[in-house]
Order: sequence, then C-alpha cells, then structure tokens
Amino acid sequence: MTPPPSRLRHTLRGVLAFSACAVLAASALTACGSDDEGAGGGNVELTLQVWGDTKYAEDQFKVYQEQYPDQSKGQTMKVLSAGKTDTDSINKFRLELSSGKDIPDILQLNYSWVPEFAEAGVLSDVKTLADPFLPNVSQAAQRLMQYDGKYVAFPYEVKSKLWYYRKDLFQQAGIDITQVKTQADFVAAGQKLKAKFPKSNVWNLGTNPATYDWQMIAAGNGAKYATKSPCAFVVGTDPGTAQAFKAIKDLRNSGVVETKIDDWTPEWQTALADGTIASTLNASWFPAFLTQYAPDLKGKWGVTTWPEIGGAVGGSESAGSVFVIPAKSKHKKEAAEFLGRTLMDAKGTKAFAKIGGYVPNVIALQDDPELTNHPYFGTELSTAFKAADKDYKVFAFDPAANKEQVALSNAMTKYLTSNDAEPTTYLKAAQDELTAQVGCPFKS
Amino acid sequence: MTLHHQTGGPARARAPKWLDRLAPYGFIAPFVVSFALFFAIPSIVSIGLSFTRYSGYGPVEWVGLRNYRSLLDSPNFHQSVLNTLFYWLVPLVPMLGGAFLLAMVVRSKLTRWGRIYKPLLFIPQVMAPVAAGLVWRVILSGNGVVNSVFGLDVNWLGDPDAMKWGVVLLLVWRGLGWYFVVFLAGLTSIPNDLLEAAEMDGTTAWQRVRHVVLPLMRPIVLFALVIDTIASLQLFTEPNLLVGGAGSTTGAPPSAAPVMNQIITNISGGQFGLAAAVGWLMFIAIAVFSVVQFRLFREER
Repeated sequence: MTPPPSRLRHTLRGVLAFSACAVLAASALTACGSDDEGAGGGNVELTLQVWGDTKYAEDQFKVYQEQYPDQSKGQTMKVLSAGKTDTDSINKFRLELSSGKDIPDILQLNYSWVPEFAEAGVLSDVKTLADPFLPNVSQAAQRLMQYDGKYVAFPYEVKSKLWYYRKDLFQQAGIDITQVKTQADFVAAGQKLKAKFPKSNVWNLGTNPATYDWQMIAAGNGAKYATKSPCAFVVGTDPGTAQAFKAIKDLRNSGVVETKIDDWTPEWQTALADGTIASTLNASWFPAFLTQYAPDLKGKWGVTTWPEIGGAVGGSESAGSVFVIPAKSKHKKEAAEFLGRTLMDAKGTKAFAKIGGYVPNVIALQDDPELTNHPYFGTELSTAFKAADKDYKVFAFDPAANKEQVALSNAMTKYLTSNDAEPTTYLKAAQDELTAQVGCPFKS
Repeated sequence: MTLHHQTGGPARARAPKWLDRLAPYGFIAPFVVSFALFFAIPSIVSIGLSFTRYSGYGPVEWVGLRNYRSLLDSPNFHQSVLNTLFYWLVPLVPMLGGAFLLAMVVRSKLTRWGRIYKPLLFIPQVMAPVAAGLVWRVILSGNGVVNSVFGLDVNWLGDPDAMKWGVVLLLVWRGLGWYFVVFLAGLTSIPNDLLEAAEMDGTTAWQRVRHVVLPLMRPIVLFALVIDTIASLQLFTEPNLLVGGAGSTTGAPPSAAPVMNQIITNISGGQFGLAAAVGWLMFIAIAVFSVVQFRLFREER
C-alpha cells in the first residue's frame, strides 16, 4: 500500500531534516578535530613526505616516541611516500605548493634541491629551532644544514667521498694505500695493480659516467656552474668544471680504468665481485650496494679517503640528504623537536642509527663501538668517514641544478667520445643551452 | 494497434519530449565532461604555459616564443629528435614487414599449428615494457645471450653507436606480436573466395599478395602505420630502461635519448614552460606525419 501524498511529504521532510542534522554534527566534529590539532597541548598529527620506502621514517618516529615520551606526547605521524625517486617527491611538493594544500610538516630532500626552494622562500629558517642541537653535530652536518648562510635544513645523511679498494689485491700488488695522494699516484697504483693482475682496474668510467663521478670532483675543486650576481651561467668558462671533465677523460685514457663498464649495469655488479673492478672512487652510500653485489668478499674490501683527483681536495656527493620544514607547515615547532631529537641528539640518534644503520652526525657517537663496527668493513668505514668529514665541502648548487646536471651529462658524453683533449667547446655549448632555456638560474 | 500491443509488452507512459531530446546528451555527458576536464582544458592551458616560464608554483613570467626558439636552437633537442626518428624508421620495415609475413604464413595452408604461434608471437606484447627492458638489459649485457650466441663483443648498453641498435632490437621484439595480430585480423577479413578465384585464374602467390591482399589490406596498413608513428614519437620507456641505467638521474645518454626525455627532464627541473613547448612541438610533428600518411594511403575512390 502506498502512503497518501501528505504522509509521503511528511516522511521526506523528516529524512531531509535528519540528514541535515547528521551533516551539521559531522562538520562540528571535524571542526573540533582540527581545532585540537592547532592547539599546542592537544593531539598533533605530523606529516612527513619521503620518497621510496616509508619504513625508516616510521622507525624514526617510533624511536622518538620511545626515547622522548614527554616531548612526543599526543603526537602521531603520517609518513607519505611520494614515489620511487626524489624527483617524484619534488614534483608532488611543487603541486602542494601550487595548490597550498596538503603541504607536509616535514619533507625529505636531496641537498641539490634545497637551493630552488630556499630561493623561492618556501622553507622555514630553522636556526632558532635547531639552535639547542647545533653543538652536538659535526661541522659537515652543520654545513649540510645551510644554504647561502641560512640554516634551512636538518642533516640526515652526509654523503662523503670514499675510496673503496680490494685490500687483498692491493697488498699482493705491493700498493701502499697511504701513499696514494694525487691523481698521478692513483694512476701509478693502477699500473702496479695491472702488472700483478692484468684484468683488474682501479675504477670504471664508461662513455656515460654517472653524474656523481664528475660532480664529486667538482664539489672539491671549487667549481661552480652559475653566479648569483650577476645572475648568469658561467660553466662554459669555469676552471673547476673543466678540470673535473678533464680528469675523467685523462683517467679513462690512463689504461688503468675499465672504460666499457658503466655503473648500475649487470657487468658492474659482476666486475665488483670478480676483481675486474678492484677499486672505485665512490661515496658513503656505496656499501649498501657493494654488500649485495659481493657478499663473499666481506673483509677483503677496504675503505679510505679519496686521493686528490682533478684538483679536488675533499668535497661530497651531492652534499647529502636532509629534512626541511616548509614555511607553511602547521607544526613547525613539533617537527623541529622531532628532527632535532632523532638526528642531532645523542640519545635519539643512537637509537635511530642502530635501526637505520646509517652513520650518525652526532660527534659523541662517532666513536661509539656499538655504531662503528660495520658488518662488512669493520671499523674502517667509520674511520674513513670521520677522516672525510674534515674536508667535507658542499658544491655550489643553484636552483637550476637539475637542468645543469642533464646539460652537463650530455656535454660529458660528447666530450668523452670526441678526440678533443679540452672540454671547453662542450662546456660552452652546455652554457649556451642553459642560458637560452633557463636564463637567470636564481630566478624561480 | 500500437507497438507495445504488438510485442506484447506492458503499456508505458510516453516520456516528455524535452527528456527525449536531453537523454542522448545525458549519455555522452560523462565522457564530454571528463574529456574537457582532463584533456581539453589542460591542453589549452598548456598552450599558454608554453609561452611562459613557470616552475609549478610562484610567479608566472611571460616569455613569448623564447621556449620554442631555445628548443629549436638546442643541439640536444636536435639529437633527441634524430634519435626518435631513428627509433621510428629503423624498426618500421622489420617490424611491420615481419609481422605481415608472419601473419601471411599463419593464415596460409603452410602452417599447421596457427593456434600455437598466435599466442607465442603475442607474448612479448603482454610483457610489461619495464620488465622487458630489464630482461633485455641482461640479454644485451657484455656476457649476455646475444654476444655469447653470435660470438660478438659489442657493448650494447654503453657504446654510443651500438646502444640505439639495442633499443631497436627490443622494439622489434616487442612490436612484432602486436602488428602480427593486427595484420592477421585484416587478413581474416579477406574472403577466401577472392583468393581462390585469383588462384584459379592462374596467378602466382606473389601476384595474389601484390594485387589482391595488399590493396584490400590498405586500411589496416594505414592503421598500423599511424599507430606505430604515434607510439614511436612518444617513445620513452624502452630506451631509458635499456640504456639509462638503474641509478641514472638523467635517463638514457644524449646519443640514445628520445624526445620525450626533454619533457620529463624539464618537468623534473621545474621548467614547465619548456616541457609544454616540447609537448606542442611533438603534437605538431605527430599531426603532420599522420596527415601525410592518411593522404598517401587513403583509398582511391
């Protein structure tokens, strides 16, 4: 039986009224929730954007909660992975900045991206927030926190330049690693190695060397790609960049470097395990891969600091990775407290480093036996890391770093496959292209 | 007698006239709205974007034709265009020709187990491009299958002269099955009577292919060519995975990078105006090539 029209209208009115009340009640509850977040002592949900696996960031927050229950009281953390690579995360952050929505409280970055966002004024100045923790960390970590003299980041991974070599083969070839101090010494060591082991090489540099190979040299010899005032690209005439390019070509022509194998190829992995590549000039992140490629050579690979290559004394590989607090973060203070405690304070950093397996930046922990005994390298890794810290330098990155990397990679390949001894033509071409496409690199 | 009485269906009140008129629009509305929102409007915006300098946030600066000029003057852009043309034109004949031949063989009486060959030839197409790229990295490595079987010492993944040929091998391997299926479908639509009549007239196999099969396959060949052109000009995954390297920040090296890399690297570098300009140059290229192909292959009336 169908209800009469008046009754139907009445029923519909009731349904509508109930729905309206429900919507209002839900809105009120939502509003209450956001009010709570805004208040200092209430529940706070921090958001942290990373790339790749979220596990380490989640562990980092667990450590914070366990070690600092008072500071972390009422706090939760939402860790968001923005994609597989740091570029995915950057693209997402740009969208967040563009819309003004969902801007995370903390963002993980490779340092090379910092200039773009620092110049655009979208990062918080963290000097005051990080001040209590600053004396705890190494000079390298403090340098990693800065851009253009301002503290804009919290240090996570200082990426030092390290030289990995086969101790057993070097010893049999009669090479004293402590005496290898210059590029000429390095080539001489390679010749000694080849005399004993003809198939072994001291490095691998294919025709498309990884960007970090020459960037690590440029980071230590004062090279720069652009100047702020006047705002222009100068890479075409920069002596440091030319020296880095030339060093790569000279080493490829020295006869002691494998020239057919590029990094990240299947041959590279095999060559690291079978002695074809008996040494490699790389960075502090390399053990994570070497231990996978050559697990049976545990104890046979050693590690030390780089010799002077291409006029570079010290330097770094892309400086490192950092955490920044966006200027529009809703919980700057809480975010800074979390980062400071877990990355720059001995108690929290030790607990996090034990889980995360990274080399801590806190000075008091650099000799801690619980953290310095690497399962593959023993104590050699932390000793080399400490030594590299002394000459740690950050490359003069500018906001066009990504574009420069691509242009210079192209220039490097063309230079290496040419008969030219000097890279000037190729660097000038890269400068012209950058000038035409970007204009002023410091303008966002 | 009304229709519903004839069909025996229940009597229904006729819908208002305005509803009759609006109903078709209602049906196409979801597509039109989503097309406008996710394609047409962004495309129009991207035309405007291509005349600006914009990093994805912050101020937008009008730069006129500077993005287009700088791209057309760029040696790296020229190189990537040449690479893309290489990836389009070099595999074209072996891939489409090979697929056509295979389809002819499978369709003919020569092959007994057509049902086995069809899925076998199509398997590479089913494989994800990423997986295919990674597998071919191993196949083309120094000690890989290709070098070992043919006794070669070619650095497929590192030598600037060889790496593009490695990509071509991968493209042919992947594309062959797809075009095989396309051509097989086209061949199936050709009536057997026609071919038998031609055979009874005393024609040779080649004459039948040349004067009967190929003219009837013209629309299918045109379809395959246009699809291949669009896919080739938009090529990205295969060269970057095969010769780019897992840890590479810049993808394939300049000697092997396709033009799509110009878009990706400009987006990564926060050069949205340049990326949009590359996109529109690619659009123009695809449009021109497609029109030319349609003109050349259109059916004579």
